[in-house]
This record gives sequence, C-alpha cells and structure tokens, in this order.
Amino acid sequence: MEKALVMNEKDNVATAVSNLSKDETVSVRVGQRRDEVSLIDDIPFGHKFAIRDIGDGDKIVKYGLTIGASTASVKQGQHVHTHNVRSLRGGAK
Amino acid sequence: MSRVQEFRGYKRSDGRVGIRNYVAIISAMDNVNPVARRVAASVQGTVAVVAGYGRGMVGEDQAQHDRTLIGFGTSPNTAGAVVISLEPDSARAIAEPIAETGRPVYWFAVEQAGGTLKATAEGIRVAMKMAADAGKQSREPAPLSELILGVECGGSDTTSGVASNPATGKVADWLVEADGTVILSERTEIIGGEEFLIDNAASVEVANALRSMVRAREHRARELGFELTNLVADNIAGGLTTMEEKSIGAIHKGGTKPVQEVLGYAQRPTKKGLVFMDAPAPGTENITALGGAGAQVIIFSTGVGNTIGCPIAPTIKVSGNPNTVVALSDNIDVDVSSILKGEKTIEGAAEDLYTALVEVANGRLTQSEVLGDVETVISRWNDYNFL
Repeated sequence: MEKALVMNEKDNVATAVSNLSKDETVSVRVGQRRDEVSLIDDIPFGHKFAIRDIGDGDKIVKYGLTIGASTASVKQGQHVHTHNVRSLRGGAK
Repeated sequence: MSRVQEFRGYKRSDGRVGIRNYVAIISAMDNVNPVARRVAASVQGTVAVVAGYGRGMVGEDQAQHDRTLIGFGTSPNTAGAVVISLEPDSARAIAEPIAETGRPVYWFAVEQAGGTLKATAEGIRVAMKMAADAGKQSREPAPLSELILGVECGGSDTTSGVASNPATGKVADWLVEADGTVILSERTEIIGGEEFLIDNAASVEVANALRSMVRAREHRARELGFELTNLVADNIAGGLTTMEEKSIGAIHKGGTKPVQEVLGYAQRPTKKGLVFMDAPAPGTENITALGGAGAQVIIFSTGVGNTIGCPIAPTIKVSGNPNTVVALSDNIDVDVSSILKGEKTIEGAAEDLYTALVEVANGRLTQSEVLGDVETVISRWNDYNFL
C-alpha cells in the first residue's frame, strides 16, 4: 500500500494516505519514477508534504494545477498546509 | 466492458420515469409544517416535503422557493401530491403547476379546514387514497438515458479529491455516454478550478455563463470585504488547504464531459449530458436544489462523513476514506476506500458505484432512506448566500 500519493508529475506536494511520522522516509511514485522523501514533520492522514524544496511565494502544485502559493520557504519533507500556504482566489486579501 | 443500460421505473403521465413512487406531502408555508409531517408519518408511501419560510418572501426569493416545491411535486419520483398551507393562495400556487403534469393533486388550507387536527385528518384521508392508487402502478423497463443524476460532495477531505470524487466522475461519464443527464453544482466549489469547466464548455455561451457566475461571486465578496472561501473547519482538519485545492478535487465528481448548459437553483435541465447548476454548496440545500430540478437520484461523495439525504431523490453516499467507511458504516452506501489501499483502480471502484446506482434505480433503499436521514432546505435568494 502506498503511504502517500502524488497526483501528477508536475506536483511539488504529496498527499499522505496514512499517518506519517517525522524522520520517516517515504517512497512516492511521481509519474514513472519513485522519489524518496525524508519527513521533517509529522504528517497526518490526508495532509500534504513538500516533495522538493519550495521557495517563499512559489506556487503549490497538486493535480498538476496551482492550488495556492507558499507564504514562507518550505523544505522537502515539511508539512504543507494553511500555516505556510495562501489561496490565490476568492475575494478580500 | 458492457454495462447495464436500463433500469425498472415508474412511467409518468408527462413521459418521465421515476425510481420511487411517492405521494409528496408538501407544506407551502413553514407554519403548517407540523401538519404535513403528521400526515406523512400516518400514511405509508408518502414523503414529507417541509422547508422553512414560504411566507414574507418577494420576487426571485419567492420564485425560487415555489419552483423548488413544485419541482418536488413534479419529480419523476412523485406519483401525486397533497399541498397544505395556512391559507389557500399559497397552496394553490404550488398545486396548480403540479396538476398541469397530469399528476393527482389535492390542496387545502389549515385556516379553512378548521385547525390543525381537522387538517391532519383531511390530509390523511386524501393521502391514503392517493398512496393506494399509486401502489397499483408497476415498474417497467426504461433506458438509463431517462435518468437525471445529481452529484454532490460534503464533509470533504483529501480522500474526496483522490478517491470518491474521481470514482463519481467516472460514473457520471458513463451515464452521459448512455445519453443520460448529470447535474454538477456547487458554485463556490468551482472557484479556482473553473477554467477546466470553461475549457470543456459545449458553447461560447456556456463558457461565458460559467465565467461571469464565478466573477460575480468574487467581485461581490470583495465589495462586502470578506474572504470568499468554501473551506470549513472539518475540511482543513482533513488536510485541505485552499479553495483551489478543494474546487479542483470537487470538479472531478462531474466527470470529463462538456458542460451543456448553466441552470439556476432547482431549474430542470433542458439538455442531456453534463449540466451545471448555480446552487450553494452546503449539502442539505444543494441536494434540495438537485431534487427540485428533477434528479431522480443523487450520488453524494463524502470524506470525513456527511449523512443527509434528499427526501424525494435517493441519495447514495460514497466514501473513499478508510476510517469513515468503518466509523460511519451506518450511513455509507458504497465504500471506495480500496482506491487508497491500492486494491482497486479508480475505474474498478467506479464499477461498484455504477452497480449501486442501477440497484438504487431498481428499488434498493439507500441508508438515508432506511434511516429517514432526509431533510429539505431551500436556499434563500440574497446577497449573503455565497457558499
């Protein structure tokens, strides 16, 4: 069973499909290849982590599409969620 | 592979085919809801259609309320209707358009009946006769093209976007390939993902309608100075981060076919194929809009769990969350958690969902029907109704 899913090879995040722990190394399938990611945060089921380093203000990509932008630089293996991502849509900002 | 292309349903005088054979007990004003509930509880084969408001409304607000109740009364799943109100005019306004479809309708006012006890007795007497007559009708074979399927998601989490919504989308595609109709709705759940629907629009008019719908919502949110978001606490706890992420996941449940038209709240589709309805996203009012539009059946995709169904349109709950399908097993009809476990592909799990859809069309009761976990909430037409 996969521990995390990458929906599209353009993605820079993976989605945990089990509860994952800090210091765990997770193998994720990215298109045809597999990448190893060492987690630097606990990642709850359903949450996302960076599969490569992401710069401050860079786009967060899932399903091959932009789902927001980072509000800080994010290291590979770090939790990616509302504390370091903002929406680019929807009104008052 | 060859899939089942027909079901057994109830042919109506207006040519539509139902998958249930209900007598709808409709309350036109909320102040007589208890009477409608009492009548429905007393007569087998009926279903209570009771919503808030129905009085003190004007213009489009009133029109949307009435259209929804008339839509329930003229649903293919409805054999006949009893319409109850406090006073005659509002009852007649709902009953007459239902009668135009050839269905038996009886309407009356509690004020004229002489109070709620006499009204309850009157309602039971006419509903009993109507239900007995409805029971004389048998199911007959009908092509799947007669089906209007509403798709909705609620209690979404990450698994909705990676499992239950894509599986629902596959079923939606197969139904469109069988010349059926699929209604995708939830206007704020497309914001951030609308370009994919627009790229897939069947015409320039549809593309423009989708674009202007989204722009108008965003513009009005800015004017009012609040952030337009479709994310609620359980979504965020489940791992969804932004409305774009939720929207792109949500759009998956409509499948990949071109959008043929854009409908208002509880408006009947005029085209086959995938259509989009401009309706609020929260589950109960959304499935009310779908039932009011004449959808005979709804697939409701859920992550962390949402248990509500539409009283008139059997609501199939599908989840891909391995925890939810165990914890909320009383409320989930189809388990597609095999996708996350790596045991089935999305297409393989979608075959199970398609089988359930045909079974429910043939009479299998959904969990929310068995338990009575059904509710009617008609959205009000106002500026603050954004979600």
